[in-house]
Amino acid sequence: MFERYPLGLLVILMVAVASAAFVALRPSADSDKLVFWTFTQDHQDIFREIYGPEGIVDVQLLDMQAFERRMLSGFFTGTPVADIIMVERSVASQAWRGPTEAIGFLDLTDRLEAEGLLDRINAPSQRPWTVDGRIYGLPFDVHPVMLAYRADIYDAAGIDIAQAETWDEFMEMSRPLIGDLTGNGSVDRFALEVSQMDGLSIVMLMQQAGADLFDEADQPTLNAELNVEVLTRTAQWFSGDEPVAADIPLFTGAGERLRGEGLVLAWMCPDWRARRNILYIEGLHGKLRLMPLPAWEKGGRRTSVWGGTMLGLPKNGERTEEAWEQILHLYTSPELGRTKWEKLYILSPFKDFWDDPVFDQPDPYYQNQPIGRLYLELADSVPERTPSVYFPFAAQQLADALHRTVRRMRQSGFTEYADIEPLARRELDRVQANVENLMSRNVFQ
Amino acid sequence: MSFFSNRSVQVAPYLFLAPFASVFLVFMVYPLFQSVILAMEQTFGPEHTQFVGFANLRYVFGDPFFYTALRNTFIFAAASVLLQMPLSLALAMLLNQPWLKGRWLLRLIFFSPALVGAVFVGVMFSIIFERRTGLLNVVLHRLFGFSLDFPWLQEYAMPAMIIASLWMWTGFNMLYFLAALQNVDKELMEAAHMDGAGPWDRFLNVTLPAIRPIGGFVVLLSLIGAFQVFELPFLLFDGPGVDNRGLTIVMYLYQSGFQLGDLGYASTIGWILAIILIALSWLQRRLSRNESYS
Repeated sequence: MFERYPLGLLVILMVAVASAAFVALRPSADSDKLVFWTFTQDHQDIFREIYGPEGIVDVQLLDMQAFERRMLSGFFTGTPVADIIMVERSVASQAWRGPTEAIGFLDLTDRLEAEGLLDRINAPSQRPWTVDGRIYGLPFDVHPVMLAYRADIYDAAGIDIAQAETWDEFMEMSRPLIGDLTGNGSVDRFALEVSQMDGLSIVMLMQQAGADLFDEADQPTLNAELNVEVLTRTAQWFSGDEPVAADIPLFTGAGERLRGEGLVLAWMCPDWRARRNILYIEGLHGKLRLMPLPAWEKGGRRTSVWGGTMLGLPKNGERTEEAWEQILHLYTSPELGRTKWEKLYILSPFKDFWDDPVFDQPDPYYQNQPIGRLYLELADSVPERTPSVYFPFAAQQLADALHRTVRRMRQSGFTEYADIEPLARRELDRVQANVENLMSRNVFQ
Repeated sequence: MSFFSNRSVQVAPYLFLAPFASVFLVFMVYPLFQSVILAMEQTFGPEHTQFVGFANLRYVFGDPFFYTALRNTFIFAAASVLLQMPLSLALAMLLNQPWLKGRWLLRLIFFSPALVGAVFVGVMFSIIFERRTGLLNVVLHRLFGFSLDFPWLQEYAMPAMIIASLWMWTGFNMLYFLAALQNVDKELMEAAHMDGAGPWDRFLNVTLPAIRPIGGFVVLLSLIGAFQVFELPFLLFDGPGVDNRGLTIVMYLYQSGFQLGDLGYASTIGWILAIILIALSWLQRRLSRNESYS
């Protein structure tokens, strides 16, 4: 027996049979629950808390890359995806690269109108999910941007920086506090963090000024006059022996450490980043305050926007009506509006919630400022953004444009606006051509 | 009966070949053929495809990003061969010396970076190369007063990539050379010694010819690896890096196909990469054949 069927072979066979039986007899997934995909642990946690273990929605967490692949594969082939999809802007926009009729999300426009929801949602927050006048998602957030600043340092110097209305005033008032403080030959403190590796900083500043990367017809406007001005002035912040801006990594441990150690006095801070500060820079408890962004010109916009997520339904979903009911329930639930702020520091774009006293609570991390209310005061002036699928590419191009302008400016020793402006213009013309060139390849639009 | 047995003899080889042939046809030949078609299409999922002929190919030749990726990849590949090979060989020769104590431990130490994988190396070096807080700048600052703010990942992306790659692969290639060195004919070496050949002459005229086949193989392996580099720069710079200084051909293929969703263009880039690799392999074979004839 053992000669014909050696022991090893028997063991392998037994393991194979046992594992096959385990797979075959495993209880199947809860098929009567609606499947809800999200991409961050925080979101999953709050939705699970709202629904509870017996709830009718199964909230599943997917890695962003896997999310994108599975969502697009489902849209392309008509195979099932989740019943409810909570998706970030750069991933959602992949769905609008092809012809309009091939968009995999359900058109929600008529449903939103019928429910009377359109006027109750913050209008600028709706724009990134609107393609050719049709709405494919419910905005989950507003993400207005404020300036987080080192109140302890400004207060000690007797400077009331919150009085700075423009970026020029902010830089001028901060100047006494920055420079080579230890005398070791290098600048130890800067006024503001502006990333040159990530395009989000410069994009935020451009959108604050009133320009966008794409126009209403989804054509690139990277080299618009306003953008040339913003790029020139931003590059100027890096000029001279004592630059006022520092290029610090945005989302790394090293970046948080440098912010915590006081390398910069201020950084642009959307609502979600206000929580990130609390989580990752504990040492600044009670030392930070928030103020509206200084404007580019007096009377100009005092905020910008950073990030964005939507709730959508797949066009080929099998339980569309149930899923719609659920997201309506979720969206209009004051509980979610409140929990989002309390746990994630994310403002809901559903304006009915904005009077909730939860937003007036003082936050000890920010010297007891009612930061929810401060963000809400800026919510309806966040800039509108178009939903272009080319946004991530264009944003990266703008980071390159900033970096190259700064490098050339330093090589030439330029510090004056008039000298830097031609460099910025040339760079923006170059990146505009790159984006146009890329878009010209798309035969579907 | 004889009809059936003759028949089964005729059919049997095909039946035995069938499993391999079907897998090969379905998973190799068909995708290869399909990727040629894809290179001539614009797609948005399988239901929305448009034949564009050679438009993708024409676009590649006028695409500045492709040339940037090509240039970066060639520089990285050249550095991989020109720096890694001599270093690996030198290390192998050192660790082949009988007088060296603890050789097995040193071999393990030098080989171990290859075990951890490019993802780990990419993440680790992205921390090491950080401005102000990175280990490299901090050590250089303490030892030589080097600027803490030295922008490795911003301005010196290619040297950063090459250093990380050297750390990872030098020990791996050393192992091949070590195996080759241990097979060098000892009698030939002793004869050369007796004839009065010095260490350099022995290296040039005995060792090098003996390890040449392995050397050629390692060069080819390194070149192919270098042309396919993706994870290392992708994690070091969290993308193509400032001004695309870390953009490689495979990263550009990934960006085009999976971030911009243009699978047709990505397929075109893939075919160009394949042609480059085939050409390099052919060249390497040709050169080694000429050497063996000479």
